[in-house]
Formats: sequence, C-alpha cells, structure tokens
Amino acid sequence: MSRKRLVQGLVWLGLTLLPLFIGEWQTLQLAQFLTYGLFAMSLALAWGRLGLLSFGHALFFGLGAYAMALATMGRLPGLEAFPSSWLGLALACLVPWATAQLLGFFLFHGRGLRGAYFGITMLALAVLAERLTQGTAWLGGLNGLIGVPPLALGLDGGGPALLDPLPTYWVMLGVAFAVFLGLEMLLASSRGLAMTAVRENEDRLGFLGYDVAAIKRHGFALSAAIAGLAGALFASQFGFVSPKLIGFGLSAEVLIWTALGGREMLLAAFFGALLLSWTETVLAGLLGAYWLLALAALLVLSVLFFERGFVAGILTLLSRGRRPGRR
Amino acid sequence: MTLLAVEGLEKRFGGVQALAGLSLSLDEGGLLCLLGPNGCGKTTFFRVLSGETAADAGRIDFADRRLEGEGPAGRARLGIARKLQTPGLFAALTVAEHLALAAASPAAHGPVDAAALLARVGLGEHAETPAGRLSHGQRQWLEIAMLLALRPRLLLLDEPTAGMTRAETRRTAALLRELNDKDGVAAIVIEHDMAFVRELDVAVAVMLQGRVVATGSYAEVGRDPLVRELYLGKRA
Repeated sequence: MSRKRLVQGLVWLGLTLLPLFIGEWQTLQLAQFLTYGLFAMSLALAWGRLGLLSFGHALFFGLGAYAMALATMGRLPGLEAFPSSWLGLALACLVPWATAQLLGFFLFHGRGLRGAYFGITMLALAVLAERLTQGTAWLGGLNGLIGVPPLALGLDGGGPALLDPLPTYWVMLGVAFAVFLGLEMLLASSRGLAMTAVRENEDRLGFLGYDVAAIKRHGFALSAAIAGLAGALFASQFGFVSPKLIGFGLSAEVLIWTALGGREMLLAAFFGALLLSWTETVLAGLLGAYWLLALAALLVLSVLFFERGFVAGILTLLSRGRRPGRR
Repeated sequence: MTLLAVEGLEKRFGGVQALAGLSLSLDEGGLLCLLGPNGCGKTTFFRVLSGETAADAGRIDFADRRLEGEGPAGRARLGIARKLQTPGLFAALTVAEHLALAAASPAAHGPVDAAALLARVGLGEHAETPAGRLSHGQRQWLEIAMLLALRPRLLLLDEPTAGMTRAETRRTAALLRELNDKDGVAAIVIEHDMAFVRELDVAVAVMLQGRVVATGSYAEVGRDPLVRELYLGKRA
C-alpha cells in the first residue's frame, strides 16, 4: 500500500471513530457537515479536474434538496401517495444531472464558454434559481418547505427512519466514502486521465481526437448529480429547505471550502469543508460576525502559502514527495 | 498514391490575406519541408488543415476524402496529427500518462508499445516524470511521441526544433528520417532552421504571401532566384 493510500485510509478511519469521542449534538452537526463535504467533492470534480470554476454550484445542491423535499413530503403531482426517500434520492441525483447535461449542451458545445464567462453564467443561473424559488408557492416561497422527513428505509416512505445521531453520521460518512471511492476509481481510469487533461490543456486534447465538450458535459453532470445527492441528504437531516440552499451564498461558501481544502484533491476538498464548517461554529461563537474576517484572513493565508489548498498541502506533506494536485 | 491534395486554399483575417490560393500535394509516406518568411501563411495552412479554422475557399482531399467541416478532433480521427508550435502538453500528467492518453483516444489507429516509443525518443528513463519538469527539447520529443502513439497517417510538425540545441536538432532530424523511412509516416514540417532542413534532405516547398512559389529538393530550391532573394536579399 502506498503512503498516500495509508494517509487516506487513516483520515477515513479517524472520521469513522470520531463520533465515539464527541457528544450527540456535535455528532449530529458533523453529520450535516459531511453533506457539505460531499458537496465540496462535487465542486472539486468540476473545478479541480475539469477546470470548470462554477460560481453557482449551489444550483445543483438546491435542486437536489428541493427534489428530496418535494418527493418525501408528497408534493409531487401524481406521486403524493408515494413519499419515498428512495424516490427523493433518485430525483435529487437525476434532476441536477439532467439540468447540467442541458446546460452543458449550450455552454460547452459550439464555441463554448470558458473561464470567467462560464463562472459568471453559473452565478447568474444560481441567483435566478434563488429568485424563482422565492416566488414559487409550490416550493414554499421565501419561507421554504418545513418538515422534510428523515431518510426512511421503506419504499413507500415508511419503515425504520434515520433519526439517531450515530447511525445518521455513519450513513452520511458511508455515502461520502462510496462517492469518494467511485470518483477515485473514475479519475484513475483513462476517462479520468482525459478529464485531468481538459483542465491542463483542452485545446491540445481536441487535437488528440477527444470530444472535449462531451467530456466536460458528462463530468459536469456527474458533479451536479453528486451535489444534488449532498443537497438531498442535507434536506433529510435538516428537515427544512429554503431558497438560500440554491443561491449565491452557499455557492460562495462551497467555493471557499474547496479552495481552502484543495480543489485538485477530492479528500482535501471534502475534509476542508468539514474543517471550515466546524471552525465556523466554534469561531462564530467566539467572534460573532467577525468570524467572516477570520475566514477572509484564512483564505488570504492559504492562497499565499498553500496555493493548491491548505488541507491538500498537509495531506501531501504526510504522503511525502508528491506535490498537491497529483492524484 | 496521393495522400493529401490541396487546391486553391484561401483564408483571410480581416485585411490580411493569409492564404492566397495555396496548392500542394503529398504522397503516402511522403516527407515535405515547408519554408517561408514569417507571416507567409505556413501556420495558417496547418490551422486550416488540422480543422482549427475553416478556409474561405479551396479544397482539401485527404486519403480520397474531401475534408469539410470537421474540427480538430474529427481531423485527428481521420489520421491527421498536428504538433503545435510551442509544446502542447499536459503539465501535471507524467510522460507515460501522455502516451496512455493518446493510446486511449478515439483517434488512435491501433495498439502502441509505449515503452519502445519512449525509448525511441530518448524518454525511456522519464516515464514517471511530469511533463512540466522536462527540458524544452524533451517536451518537443514527448509531443512527437504522443502524436506517434496515435499512429497517424499524416504528421504536421510546426517548428519541431524550435528552442533545441544543435545536438537535439540533429537527433530530431534523425528521428524524423527514421519515422519516414522505416514506419512510412507521412509528414509536413514547418522549419526555419536551414541546417535542419539540409540535414533532412527531403522535398521542400517555399511559401510566400499565402501560396507556394517554389518546390524541389533543398539544392534545387536553393538555386531558385526568388528563394535566394527571399533568404539572401537582392544584389545591390
């Protein structure tokens, strides 16, 4: 086993055992942060691998959260009697995936949008979605939807539900680990190699015969599906969805988590989101609104000393030899 | 048998006529050096041929098929592989990953022995080195190796020896000769380095203001009054 794999294994093992040493309330909070970690991994895939800096990635997180809420609260026309968590999870992946496929078709094919133009378009779409959600009564308007049920095992929405902190935490961690493993396997394959090549030099990749627009579209859609899954898991835990989950605020937050963690390393982005969300709760208690200043200072320091991310820097040091950004 | 036939190619960028009725042909397994002063349309010709930009007029036939509308990926799949003027690599990928990427491409025409290919271009010891850490000459060779891994029918090499040392240039000429003689890979090479062109000793086409004005061997073209004027200036 390589040293890098050993470090990764220890991080996951540490996260598995962590709730045994902390209180129930903190476990529940960390379980929510795990969904942020999953969300950050989805952005790391789009931004760190494909070079798609999305300023509006919460669009997909929010779509997933709302899909979950509508399905499990029986608000989907024709499916009122079938408030299944499984249906919610499926829709939470499918709707953002299809949305990203459609967006990708318009944004990447033809002349294609790149860099800041793509980022700004995504920002505009997220803001638009936030406004639309605020104004749609079916989606709960400004107040959002309250009373999203927890994940339930039964196909009809009944059966054992995920209520206790410890099982909730481990299920969330299990999902995050499964997604991490799946993405690592994808990135180690020739498809993953092509995705990294898009980030490095997409024009050159085209001259090698690859359909760059299709690689970007499929990768972006996969990232959107994972973000949607994160949104759904968040909604089922939090019991509440609001327009804030689909707009600019959360889009900016996930960018900061991913940048500080390390956009080119999935585990770094994931762990960065956990660490920063936890730090936020601690520092917000100590500093109040000045917490944002502390976050800004952290971001500046990270950019100065860990260009590829703070957590990625540490993980790389521990793995020895490899510089951040390498798989 | 003719592999490439270009007829009356025209391309204008605003007020600049980059290609003005360019015509040339290349046989299967042929090797041609394209010479000409800066701005005469050599790279524009490669851009049009590789599908990066469309011609305003004229026709290109490649392997008995008229090329029309395909982008760079489509042309690559047909077997046209282009080396860019500055090395077009993926800095974070290793040397071996570059070849794996090419071998897995939809444009790859058959299996490739990556280790043998790397040894051939002198990068056998560097398989695990990220491309960003290679010297300039090694990058040029890696890009050529990556294109060879596609097993193309036509190689377009835009100044392959730019920035190379004398020894590296000689080695590149030898490699190109070997590729052409042994593997039968057809190639068009844009080059400014006359020593390299002399060393290659292949057919030469001289371009001026968007068209071919002289063709022949290096010696024949060197005796052409127009070419002498272009490269040596007018006698006072």
